[in-house]
Amino acid sequence: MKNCTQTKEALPALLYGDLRAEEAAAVRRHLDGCPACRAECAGLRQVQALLDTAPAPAVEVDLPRLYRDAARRQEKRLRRWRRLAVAGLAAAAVLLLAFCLRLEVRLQAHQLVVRWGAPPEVPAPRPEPQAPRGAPPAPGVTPADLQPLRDLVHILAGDVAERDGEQKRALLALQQRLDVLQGQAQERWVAAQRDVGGLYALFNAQFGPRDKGE
Amino acid sequence: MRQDDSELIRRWQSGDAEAFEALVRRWQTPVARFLARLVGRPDLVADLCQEVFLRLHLARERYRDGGTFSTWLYQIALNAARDALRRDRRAPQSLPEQELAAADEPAETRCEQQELAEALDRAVGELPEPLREVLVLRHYAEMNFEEIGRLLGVPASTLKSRFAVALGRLRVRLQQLGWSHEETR
Repeated sequence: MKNCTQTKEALPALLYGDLRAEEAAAVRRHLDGCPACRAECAGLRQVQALLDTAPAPAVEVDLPRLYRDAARRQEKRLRRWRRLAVAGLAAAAVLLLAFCLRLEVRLQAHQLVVRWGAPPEVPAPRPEPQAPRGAPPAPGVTPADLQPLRDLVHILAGDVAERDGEQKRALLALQQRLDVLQGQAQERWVAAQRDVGGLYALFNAQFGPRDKGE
Repeated sequence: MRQDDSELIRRWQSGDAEAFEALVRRWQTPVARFLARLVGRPDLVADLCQEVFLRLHLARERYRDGGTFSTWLYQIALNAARDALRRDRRAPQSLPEQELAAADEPAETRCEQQELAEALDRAVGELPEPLREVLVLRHYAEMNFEEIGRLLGVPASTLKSRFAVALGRLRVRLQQLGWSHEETR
């Protein structure tokens, strides 16, 4: 048997059908013998009824506006993606340039040193007949070295083109739907004009044409 | 014949715009009611409703048939309402005239319903946000506490207590506003 506190805690669940059958039966048994809990239950039931009774605001979604806004947001997304792709391509181009020029930036003895091209040859010490002449020159940039960068550029360009195509198709579909809606609105307008014309003619036939002076 | 939501979504995802429009017509009034109670600002409801269905349209590809459409839709509505409330933190105090959906009833009934809607907007709007959210999700979206828990990231047991508190406070406030037991009979 439930007491008043347990019953009051269980009332919302009872009203919304969230209790198991045996639990609901126990709450109902308590309600039968307890006027205070019955009053509490009636009050909550009333709140539930008021929430159901209160009408919804009259709202009608404006579909042509929705399609226009959707097209605008899709274009905005596409522009953002294009900007990102351009930034990616620019970064790739800078890397490529740095790689080709063998650019080197470093801080040396409190000075910023920017150097490109092959490393300067270290002045050879006094000629010694059999000494080797400095390090061998660095190998040049081969097409194989550039392949990953070239692939990256191709992937980015391909992705931009693909997204561009998808967005264009989506925008075209939205535009077609807008045209259909506009056509339907136009037909309704013409029908309304025809109805008004008919009513006016009927009125004239029944009561005679109205004088402008009347 | 009334098609179910998943059939309409399937058609919409394969490019049928009329299916989307059917979904809009079916759900615009329940969503408007949900939003009206959640934000407590009838003047925001029309724009919010428009925003919800716009977000729905843009999220077309993301819907998977695993969940209920209504849960997904109410989740979008909840996010849109939270964004709007974040932008506009004003308490729901002044209640502009609102046009109600059932406009073909007698003037006296309409007037009474208008007063009830205003009283409810006020009473629900005065609840703290966590209580208000669980109340509208349970009552209007008809989600169970486990679903609400997944949506809000709160344990179901906590939500049950919040719901009981929300109903209790609403009852007291509605009585103060003159909506006693006898008036609904």
